[in-house]
Amino acid sequence: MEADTCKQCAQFFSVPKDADDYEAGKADCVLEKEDEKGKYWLSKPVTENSKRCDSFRLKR
Amino acid sequence: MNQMLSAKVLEYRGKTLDFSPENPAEAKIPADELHEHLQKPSTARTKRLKERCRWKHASAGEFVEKGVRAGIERMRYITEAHKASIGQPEVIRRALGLANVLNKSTLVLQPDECIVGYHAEDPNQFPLYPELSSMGVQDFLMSDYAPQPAEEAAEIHKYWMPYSLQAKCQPYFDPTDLRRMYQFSSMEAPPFVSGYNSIVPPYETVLQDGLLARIKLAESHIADAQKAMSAFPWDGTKGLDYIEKIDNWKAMIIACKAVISWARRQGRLCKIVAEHFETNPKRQAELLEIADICHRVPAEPCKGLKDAFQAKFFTFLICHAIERYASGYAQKEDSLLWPYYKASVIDKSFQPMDHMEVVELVEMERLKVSEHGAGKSRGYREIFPGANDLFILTVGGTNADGSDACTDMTDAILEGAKRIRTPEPSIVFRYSKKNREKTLHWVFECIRDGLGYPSIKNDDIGTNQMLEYSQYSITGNGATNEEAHSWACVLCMSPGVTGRRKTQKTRSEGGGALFPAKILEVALNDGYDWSYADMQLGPNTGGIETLKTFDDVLEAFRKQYRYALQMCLSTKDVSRYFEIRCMQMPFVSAIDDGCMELGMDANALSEQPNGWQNPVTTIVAANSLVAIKKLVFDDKKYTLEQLNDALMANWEGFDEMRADFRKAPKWGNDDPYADEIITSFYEDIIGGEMRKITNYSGGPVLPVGQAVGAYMEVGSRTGPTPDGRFGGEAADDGGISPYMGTDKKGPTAVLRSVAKVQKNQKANLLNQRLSVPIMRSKHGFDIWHSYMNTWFDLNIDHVQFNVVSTEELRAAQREPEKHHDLIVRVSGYSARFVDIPTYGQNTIIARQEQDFGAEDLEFLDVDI
Amino acid sequence: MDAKKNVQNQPHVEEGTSKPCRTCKWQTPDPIDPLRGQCTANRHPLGGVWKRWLRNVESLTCSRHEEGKLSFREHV
Repeated sequence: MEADTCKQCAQFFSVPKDADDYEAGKADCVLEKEDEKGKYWLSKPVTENSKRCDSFRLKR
Repeated sequence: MNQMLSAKVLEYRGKTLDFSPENPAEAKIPADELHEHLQKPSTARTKRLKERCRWKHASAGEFVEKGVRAGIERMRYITEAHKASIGQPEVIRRALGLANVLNKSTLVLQPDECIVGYHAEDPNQFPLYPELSSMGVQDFLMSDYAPQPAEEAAEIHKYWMPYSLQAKCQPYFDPTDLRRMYQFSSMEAPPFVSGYNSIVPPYETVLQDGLLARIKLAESHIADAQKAMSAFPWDGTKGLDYIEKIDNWKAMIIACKAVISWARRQGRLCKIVAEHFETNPKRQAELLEIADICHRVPAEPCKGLKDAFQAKFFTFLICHAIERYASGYAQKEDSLLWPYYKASVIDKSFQPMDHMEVVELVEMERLKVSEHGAGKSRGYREIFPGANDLFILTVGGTNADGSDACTDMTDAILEGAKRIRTPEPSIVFRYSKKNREKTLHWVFECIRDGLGYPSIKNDDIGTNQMLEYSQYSITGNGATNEEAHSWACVLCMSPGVTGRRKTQKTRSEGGGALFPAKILEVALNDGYDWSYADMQLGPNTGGIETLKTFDDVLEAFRKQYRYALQMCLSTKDVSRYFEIRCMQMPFVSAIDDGCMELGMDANALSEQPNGWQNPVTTIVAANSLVAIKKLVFDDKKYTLEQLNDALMANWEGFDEMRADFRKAPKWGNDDPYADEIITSFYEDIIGGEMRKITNYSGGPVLPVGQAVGAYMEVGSRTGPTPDGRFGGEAADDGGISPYMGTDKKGPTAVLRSVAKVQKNQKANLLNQRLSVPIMRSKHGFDIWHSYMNTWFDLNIDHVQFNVVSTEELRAAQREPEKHHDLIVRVSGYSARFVDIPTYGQNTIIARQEQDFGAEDLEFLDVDI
Repeated sequence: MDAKKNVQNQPHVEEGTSKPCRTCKWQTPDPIDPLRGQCTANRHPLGGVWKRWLRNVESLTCSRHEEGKLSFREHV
């Protein structure tokens, strides 16, 4: 079955249970980007049921 | 007085002084590329960081680098929270807005950096503030830098129209008066329209206590308040006060918790990158250490220097860019960091490191600030050309016991600045004769390398000023002697206390400009602006036919000036009124001991008054008045009507007359005729009239003459002036600096003129351009040091230097791509020269390059 | 100035003009009110830029109108 939520994405990192912002199903979506100045990483809160985006990479 | 020797050899006290470079290797470097050879980043890492730095310099309203633009996230999340919190107390709504932004916004991490955190969702972006000024946001929406999606941004802008600070304040003023202020030619626009702001965050409480302790304090205050409210017998005259206090404390708790969580989320990002993306083991370990730091600070007290740099940067981001926009980088940085330097470098008790690792941290902090973009409206993207925004930190000075406050932390800050060569943040050095020579050498080396900073402020004047203002404290709790010694410049020039409480929280307290050159122009024209806006710009004070004596001219100016003062200061206080009611800053309140103790919002509590307004272009007005007095009323060579005809023609066809007006005595030459008129103008009118005003905080308002880049913008909106200036030419570039190229009698004559103005001033900016060969020679330090001691003895407030050759400036105009490291002092800030419009570049080239003649050295009593 | 001042070469109202100041390279937005503008066409041979305020960038025009946008280097 084709993955269609953030939970199945390799860039989905669950928020640890002891974190201040812990919520069940909540995670950090961490994307590696690159432009002419170089590489950088972005982290955005998502939930496991969020619909996959264009940056989706299947977790292996 | 000055022999104006351009030769590199000088006879002085029986000796022949040779001004060849102190470093012989420099003799081989072409004069027109010297500055490209001066950077020496302390490590390969900071060299890489500088090479890929995402500068956000703006010029003429445009961003210099491609790809820079406004982000949408802050405006999206603050709006979402505002809609969701209807009915709650306003201060709670502000806290929930901050929390929503911090909880939902995208975080950024870049390679190599050791100080982390950013204020927008992409390192090329910056946030906007729709709750402040609707015009300020609309400007972005209509520009190439509009946030995306543009439709959503437009919707947000529309939503805030009735709620913004601008909407709240505008109804209390006549639209005609406001339209005059919007011209930015005789007055700066009110803060509720410009959205421009500044702050001195009380960093000390964050570093010393940590936010968890602040939360506990607020919780305990709430518990005490609830207990007091339930105690019998109820007293409604006191008990009801607790409602607002409880709301403020609750808001502080919400804000602090959100900041802790946001910082820890940043730490989590570092950990994830270390474990899943980064392959270099050394960097992996570093990222895990940063993750640990972000977990501990700003939640807990700092224990070492890495903690302190990180907690300070997080606090900066919240106070200057996320809770509310504020320019500046105000802090007494060496004093603030010294305890952590001792822990890490001297005691090695936590985060042990050596001095050069501190220098590397300083360089990294400077690069973080260099990448910081400001979502400020167009006017403020015009008046600091070549820089991101105004970022200025302060070091040096003396402690409360009178001892030298310079430390090895001071030296690390200066060494890092010299090595990495970035225009921002600028540095202010508080000069005292007690400062150790080792540190003065670092100050000098930065200056002679042409950085334009440190700018030098008189330590005694600043401290005494804090004590004077404290007498007006409406709470009776103004700065103590110890607190007075803690001062730093709030922005470029004006001292304000730093520390755990009593710091300045909003620009409605002090800041904002007005422009005497334009005010004089309209004073000669019955209040009418014929040269720029073609509209009435001030009250009707009579046309030139009514000005029969020089006193009539002065009084017409005084009336126009009073009108401008009244508008500028009343709009600031009305801004303050509504900042207190709808622009609360619960995080800033939480980290201020006074706000925490009293349960008050940071905008509302004012323990230490610090009122000021910046007159910019005063010298064009003053030189014009001197020329009018001399040629019209004393010598009677021309009539005012003839002068008016010449001005209306922009001097075209009046060459001889213009030559006479240009030749009239000018400021900065120790000329008794000019200096008497100009000193009186500063002390009686510019300062004397301003001093009559009392602001929200109960103190007087005093002038802080500092031009930033407004001398260019206002010059371009000011017609020809009686000092011989053409319409549209730049105005004077300081606050008390001589007009470009008119200080012909050498550097010490300038000092003697400037020293005459003492009464009713808070600060005045003096720009000086010094000879490169002399400063870079082995005698450079001794001459500069003697100059500084003379300057101090003359009780002058400020001086800043450009040490750059005309050859190099011209070469950079021809081939900008080869001169990215050429930094110049504009006025109150430094800028990358090639990022300044040609118009502004030419004003820097036109400044008089001061050589030192033998008589100057005698006056300075240079011991060589 | 590089042009003798007359009605045609200074910003003046022409309702419905096809050459509004808004699209002119010499125009730059007002620093405070984004609905207004500034004309920078009056330039002195010695480098001065004498700006004129534009009340209405849609209906003002002049004979010096040139489509485009100047670099920041050529503004103030």
